[in-house]
Amino acid sequence: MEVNVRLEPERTGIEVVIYAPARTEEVDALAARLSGDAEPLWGFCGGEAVPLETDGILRFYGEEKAVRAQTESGVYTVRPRLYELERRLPPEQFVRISYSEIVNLRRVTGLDLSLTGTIRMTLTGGTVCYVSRRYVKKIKEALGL
Amino acid sequence: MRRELFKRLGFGALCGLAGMAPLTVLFPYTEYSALTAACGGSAVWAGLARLLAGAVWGAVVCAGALVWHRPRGTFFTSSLWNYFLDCGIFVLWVWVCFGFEKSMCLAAWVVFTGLYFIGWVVRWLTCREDVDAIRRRLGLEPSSPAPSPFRWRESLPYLLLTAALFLGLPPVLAPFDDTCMPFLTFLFLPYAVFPFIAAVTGFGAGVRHGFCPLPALAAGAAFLPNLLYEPKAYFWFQGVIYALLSLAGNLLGAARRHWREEKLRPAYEAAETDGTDVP
Repeated sequence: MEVNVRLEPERTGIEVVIYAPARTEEVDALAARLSGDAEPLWGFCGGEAVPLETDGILRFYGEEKAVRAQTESGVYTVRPRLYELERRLPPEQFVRISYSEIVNLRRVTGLDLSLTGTIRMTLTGGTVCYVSRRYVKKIKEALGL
Repeated sequence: MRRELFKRLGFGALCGLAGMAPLTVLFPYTEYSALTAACGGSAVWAGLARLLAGAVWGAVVCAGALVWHRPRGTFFTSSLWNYFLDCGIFVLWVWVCFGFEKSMCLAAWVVFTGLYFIGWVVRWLTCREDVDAIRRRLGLEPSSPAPSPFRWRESLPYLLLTAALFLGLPPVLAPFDDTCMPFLTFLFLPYAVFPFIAAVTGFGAGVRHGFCPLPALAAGAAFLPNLLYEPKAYFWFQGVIYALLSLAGNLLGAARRHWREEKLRPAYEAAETDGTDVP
């Protein structure tokens, strides 16, 4: 990525213009980061705070009155509640699948319906979670179905 | 949650009352003499008891739907809870309103269980459609790449639905049939409903999974117990006809599936190359 800084003393504020061949996720993420919308999400693990990359997160889930973020490298505790995360994260990528779980749809590797009606979702690395029927409609909406 | 529970109880009770009020007015109390007798011979009290039973039924069914909102518990256990709740209150309602007859309660239980089962299978099939649509959009592999022998696993919901309808409909419709001219038993079921069910379930299985012979067998086999009912309204060869109809429907469905696959193949191939969605 080429970065140019042009100084114009008559300007009162900072303006950033992004030139790109097409609108991609990278462009959107960059725009969000520059506009200050995308405040980093911090994960806490054993007294260590780590900024979490959205794409690297497999799922968020509620456990022992805390909200955890699971990545391929480990599980972190995050401050925002699930409903806050639901509002904050890109809706086409992160979707709530049950009362206590939000998953990254880009990390879904399997989806099965058992004969007893249970919907089983498998994420990268073999993590298994269960989709509540009530949230199937939401998933379909997130995927534009 | 508690607020929602009370809201549902109130709304359900009102719905139950609204449903029972015309029935109480249209069908006089004398028909249900046992209830009238239990109310000390007062027709007004009997009517009020029926209204109350209707309100309780509505309230329990409406509030019982909250079982589906439980944060924990599988769909199956929620279904069981919901079934026991709804079935229990329905049988109780029948017991109160139809003169405390055990045979009526038994019939109500059979009818309710049959209908609930059919509803459950339909919901399962709808859910599978949704899951498959999500799978396709996420670009996941087909759920069952290796077909089971005779595609029994794939066609199991269709088999259950066919069996439930063939076995359940005659006893469900029998009480509504005319005693002098049993139109439902002698004409409607064997010449309209059964052929329709056989053809549609066969067709559905064909569209979904291609050729599978088991729905045809299920249609034929599930029809046979109806030969035992009195009055004798059916003949064994009707079972063969339903099986053939199901098979024809299945072949038609399989042909449609094949045609659709052929038609969509260029679009899927193009989408795979471009990395775009199928229009």
